[in-house]
Amino acid sequence: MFSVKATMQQVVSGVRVTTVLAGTITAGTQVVLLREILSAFLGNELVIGIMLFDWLALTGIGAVLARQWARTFRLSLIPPVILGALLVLPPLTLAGFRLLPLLITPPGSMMEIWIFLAGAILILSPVCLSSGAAFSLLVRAAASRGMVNPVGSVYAWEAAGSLTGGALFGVLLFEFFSSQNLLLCLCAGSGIAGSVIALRTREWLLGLLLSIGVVALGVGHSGFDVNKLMFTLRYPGHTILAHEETPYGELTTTRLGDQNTIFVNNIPLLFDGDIQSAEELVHFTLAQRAISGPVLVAGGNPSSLIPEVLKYPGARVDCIEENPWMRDMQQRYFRLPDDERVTYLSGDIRRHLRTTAGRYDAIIIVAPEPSTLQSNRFYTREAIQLAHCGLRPAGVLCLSLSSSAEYAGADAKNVRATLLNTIRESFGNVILLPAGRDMYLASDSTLRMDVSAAVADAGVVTKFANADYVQDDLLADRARRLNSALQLVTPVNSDDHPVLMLAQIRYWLRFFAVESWAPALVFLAALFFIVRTDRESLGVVVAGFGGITLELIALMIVQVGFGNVYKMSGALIGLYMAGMGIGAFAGGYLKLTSRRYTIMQCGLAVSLLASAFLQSATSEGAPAGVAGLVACLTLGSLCAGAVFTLTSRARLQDPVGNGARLYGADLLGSAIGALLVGPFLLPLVGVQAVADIGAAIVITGAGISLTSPVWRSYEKT
Amino acid sequence: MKKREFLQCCALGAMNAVFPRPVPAHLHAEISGWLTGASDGEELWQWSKEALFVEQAGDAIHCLKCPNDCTIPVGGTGLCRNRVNVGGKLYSIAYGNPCAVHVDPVEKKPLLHFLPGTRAFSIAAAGCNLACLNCQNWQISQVSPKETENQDMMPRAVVDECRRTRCASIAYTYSEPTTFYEYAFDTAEIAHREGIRNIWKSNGYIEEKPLRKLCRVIDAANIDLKSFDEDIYSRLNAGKLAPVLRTLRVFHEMHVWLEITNLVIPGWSDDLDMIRRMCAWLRKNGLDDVPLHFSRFVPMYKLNQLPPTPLKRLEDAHAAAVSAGMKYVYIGNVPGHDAEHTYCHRCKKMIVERRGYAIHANHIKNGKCRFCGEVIPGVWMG
Repeated sequence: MFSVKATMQQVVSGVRVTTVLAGTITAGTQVVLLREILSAFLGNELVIGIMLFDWLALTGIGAVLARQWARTFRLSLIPPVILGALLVLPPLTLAGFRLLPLLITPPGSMMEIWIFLAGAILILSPVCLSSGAAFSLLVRAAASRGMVNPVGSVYAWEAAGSLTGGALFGVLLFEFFSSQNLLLCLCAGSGIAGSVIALRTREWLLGLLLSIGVVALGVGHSGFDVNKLMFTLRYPGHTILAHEETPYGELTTTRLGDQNTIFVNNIPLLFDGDIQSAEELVHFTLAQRAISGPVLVAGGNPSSLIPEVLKYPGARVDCIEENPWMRDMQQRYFRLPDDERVTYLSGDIRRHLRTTAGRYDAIIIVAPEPSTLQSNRFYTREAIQLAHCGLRPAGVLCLSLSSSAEYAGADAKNVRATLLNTIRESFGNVILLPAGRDMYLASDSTLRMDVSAAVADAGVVTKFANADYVQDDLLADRARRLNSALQLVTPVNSDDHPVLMLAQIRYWLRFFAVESWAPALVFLAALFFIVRTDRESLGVVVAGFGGITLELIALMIVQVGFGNVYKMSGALIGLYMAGMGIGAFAGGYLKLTSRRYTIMQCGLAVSLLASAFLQSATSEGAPAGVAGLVACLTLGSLCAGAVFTLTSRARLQDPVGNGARLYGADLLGSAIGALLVGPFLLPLVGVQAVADIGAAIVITGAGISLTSPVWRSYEKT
Repeated sequence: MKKREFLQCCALGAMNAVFPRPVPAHLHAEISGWLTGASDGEELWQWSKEALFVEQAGDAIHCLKCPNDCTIPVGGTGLCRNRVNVGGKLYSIAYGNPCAVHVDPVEKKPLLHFLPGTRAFSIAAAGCNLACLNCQNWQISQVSPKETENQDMMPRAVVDECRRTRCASIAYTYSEPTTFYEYAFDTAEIAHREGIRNIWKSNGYIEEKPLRKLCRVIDAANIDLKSFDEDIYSRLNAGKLAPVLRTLRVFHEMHVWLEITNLVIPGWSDDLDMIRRMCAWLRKNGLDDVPLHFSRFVPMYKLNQLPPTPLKRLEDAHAAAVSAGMKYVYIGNVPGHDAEHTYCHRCKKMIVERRGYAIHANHIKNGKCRFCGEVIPGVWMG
């Protein structure tokens, strides 16, 4: 027979397991869904920010809404019900994200932003609201055992779970598991744990249901291939030749008719017979000098670019590709020239330019449009300076954007003028040719606009880049009109001030006839809740905001410095979560005074300010810079975790209600940061100013929080 | 806007996101104007002109220019974004204010049987009466003239500029000229009087009455026949097929030189059965000697997750059209392809050797094949 004490003990041990699992699985689901969004919706920094905002805000709302309900929930049911939700909801959410866009949008088309906004909230709501409600339930379960600081403990265990999730997805993903399989394994584990706990606490029916659920998940996974259905809907009529999940995105190679195409996150990037694009990129650049030396080609379709380069006598090619999985697919499905004049390199072009001793006659960079921090780094002042240093004295750099040959509206002009002005900082001559793509050619020597005549002078035979298709006088006329329209004063795009990214996002929003300030409406709604919150919760809001700002600054610095560093990014997020967990634990042992609280908030502000100073050191790849960044992140996360626990200890009465409120406040601050910092503040004001603003907000919020009677009464006791 | 109206707009906006054009025209315009912060066109400006082809419907005006059939209330704007009801009168706000002005080879339109090797002075004002997911000129077609950066170029100035740039024709192109009908018509009328040819590059989405009036001053037209399926027209283009087919018949009947472009989009308009049905319809309606251009799709605008059309699909479409009895079939957007040349329908010899916009050899003399004497339909020089 169970004694009451034994049952309560089991409930509490179940609480820890449940909390850790909840943190692990929700972190994993978040990673997987972010990747899905990149695939389904051409994820740019704004879309990622909106998704994170939805996620964090809905979780916070879930915690607040569930606080009344949590007070009356049967204790023994709490862990198995939560674990049951973790068994069911993440797979359903994942299936929703994968299939719904394909069912409601016309084949091959980008989803309307309104559908995305509504759909993301709809699909995320079950898992996020449940995750938030789980926090309130777990606080209640922990409190019922007489735990001194149930709110801080649950928060810390959940952070430990998130760290585990981040680590699992960082280490095991791509090497051993697909994201879907890893998530399903975790969900099944959650179901098994829930079933065991239910049976131990004599919740027979629930235990049985969870067991059936686990079996159903396994059977469903082996019997119903979501990926197959997704491919059928997404690529009707195509033969799928290969599919890889990579840290750089999802790669799919298909065959349609006689044409192979490689899709990156569903966007067709490489395909057979891409004559016009290849000839424009190569010949518009190389014919400027009738190149006879080394050429660097970064990105693009080497199977069509390299043969064009090799038409120039004496030319040699270094062809660099960042994504090894992409290179592998190119080798398998596209005929890469096997020629002694060609050297295939793997890695980041910026790092290559920094470390190589060789100098090139021409550098052709084919990069995605600069709508993310990751892709923007190919278009910054620093990247262009590196290219300048990598060129011989009269060498030519080629960068390109999508075409604006017929018309460039205000947003398109802003993007193009910003890049033009950025390139002009490093090169004496820059011309912009509005062809199949808008081609930026830069050199310290003279450049020719009569490109088809230049190709003829070089004696190279081409299919497209010649006078039959490119009429020099008409091209020059369009170029003159465009260039004169681009005589705008714009800021220069730099690593720490990625203005081009915001300009590109604004241009992209024009697809949907949406103004770029529209997301600010969401921010205003969030502000409404902040104004209504109590003063001690405000301290937690600003700590949440400061924490995510610190995380985003660190991620940006690492991305800019090292390129697409999935594992390093994962490690930084893991480090932050670990720091939060430890800080939350440690906060339970700190002496509860307003002075300690102030020190913690100041620590967060200082780490924010210090991180911005490390931008330049880290962008050069210096170990000291990285070490400094790690130190900042550790300090900031420890302080943020401690702030939460200290605040929760200051309001010990009604742990469920206060816990829900503080947790909601923490997530609200993080949500606002996620939406505001990445897509808007960083490009608008730059890293240094963002750090200053973040620190100022943390200090101001903490100051207001300290005027709360709660703190004063605690000081007296 | 009252709270109730706001909520109504939100709901309709959400509906509109799912179903491209199910909402009443004036609400559609109001929502989009409200969301974009753009003027709803209530104010006239110097580039306004009273619209043609309208009828009064109470305070509102019923626009009879295109099959969208907008009834525009006072202060409202048509679906094309450039016809506004001010004080109970309908005005075009796209008169004399082109946003795109370029010189193009006539082959770019594409027109391969119309004054080959000449250039067309090409203009466009903002606006379109369709909403194609793959629009390559969405920056000017899916906005109002008040949102674009325009030039001041009244009809007389267009003709003068055409002469200055030594173009043989004026092309109304890039966006949809039906939406700036008044401007295009007045310009075409002056050009026609002065011996300059006029080219209508359009989606063909126009009512019969304005079309017949237009035919008096237009010399050549290239019409996009986007597919041969009502459902695809509705989902991909937010339009209807039947009015476009009527336009083809009317142009042919009115002896305007006509060429047809069919963009072959993988998964949408590349079905060979549909292409055969399309060609059968063209033959049945006496359009078998109208040049038919199968154009290669490249990912564009919102239709960015499809691959470019495989060459084999284009060649299959070409073969299907030829075997269905179409006499002059071309493949576009594939540099160096043999289907860029013109072959005599009777003797099968190459009569125009063409690469891109350049004519390398022309064996058409007085409109006839030099080898067999077959009349080659088109408007030829010399």
